[in-house]
Amino acid sequence: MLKALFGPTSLTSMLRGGLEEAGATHRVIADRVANALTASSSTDFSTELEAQAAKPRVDEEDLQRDMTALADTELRYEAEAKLLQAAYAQLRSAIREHA
Amino acid sequence: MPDHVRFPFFPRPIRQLLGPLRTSAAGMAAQQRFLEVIAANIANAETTRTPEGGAYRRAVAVTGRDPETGALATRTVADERPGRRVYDPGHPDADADGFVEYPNVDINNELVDLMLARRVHEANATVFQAAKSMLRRALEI
Repeated sequence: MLKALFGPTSLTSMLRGGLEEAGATHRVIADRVANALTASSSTDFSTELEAQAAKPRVDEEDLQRDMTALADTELRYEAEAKLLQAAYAQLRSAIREHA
Repeated sequence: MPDHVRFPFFPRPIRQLLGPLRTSAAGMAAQQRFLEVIAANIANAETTRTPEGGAYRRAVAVTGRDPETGALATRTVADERPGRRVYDPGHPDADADGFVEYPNVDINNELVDLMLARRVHEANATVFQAAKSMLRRALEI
C-alpha cells in the first residue's frame, strides 16, 4: 500500500524524476548559452594566430533554439512542480486524521 | 563567479539548479570582458601613440575552455594587422615620409561585435532568471 504511494511507480516518484530531468535539460541549455560566443569548438585555446583570425561569432539559429528550449523547460518544470505539490497535498490530506 | 565560492550541501534537485546559476554567471562575466575590450577599442580608435610605441592595436577577446579546469575562460589577444596610413606631415606622430599610422580599429566592426556580446549577455541573463525562478518554485513544493 505504501509502495503504491511512494514507490518508484508512484505518481510522486514519476513527477520527481520529471523535475530532475527538466533540471538536467536546463543545465545543458545554460552550458550551451554560456559558450555561445566561444570562437572555436576546440577544448583548448587556439594558437595566437588562430585566435586573431577567430572573430566572435554566434550561431543565431542555435541561440534561438536554446532560448525556445529554455522557455519550454521552465514551463515543464513549473507544471511538474505544481503537480508534485498537489500530489503531496493529496497524500497529506489522506494521511491526516480527521476528527 | 570566483572559484572559491562553493555552494553548501543541498539536496540533488536543488544542487542541479545551482549549476546553471554558476554557468550563466560565468557566461555573463565573459560577455562583460567582451564589452570592456570593445569599449577600449572604440575609445582608442584614434590613438596614434601608445606606451608600447606605435599606434593602438585592436584587442580581441577570445573565450575558450581552460584546458586544466574546463571552466569558461576569456583572454585578450592583440590584432596585429597594420592600421590605415594617412598622409599628415604636420602630425607629431608622422614618420619620415609624413605618414601617420592610425589604429586598425573599424568602428562598424566593433559595433557589430558589441551587439553580439549584448545579445549573448541577455540570453545568459534570461537563463539565470529561469534558474532562479525554477529554484524558487522547487522550494515551494
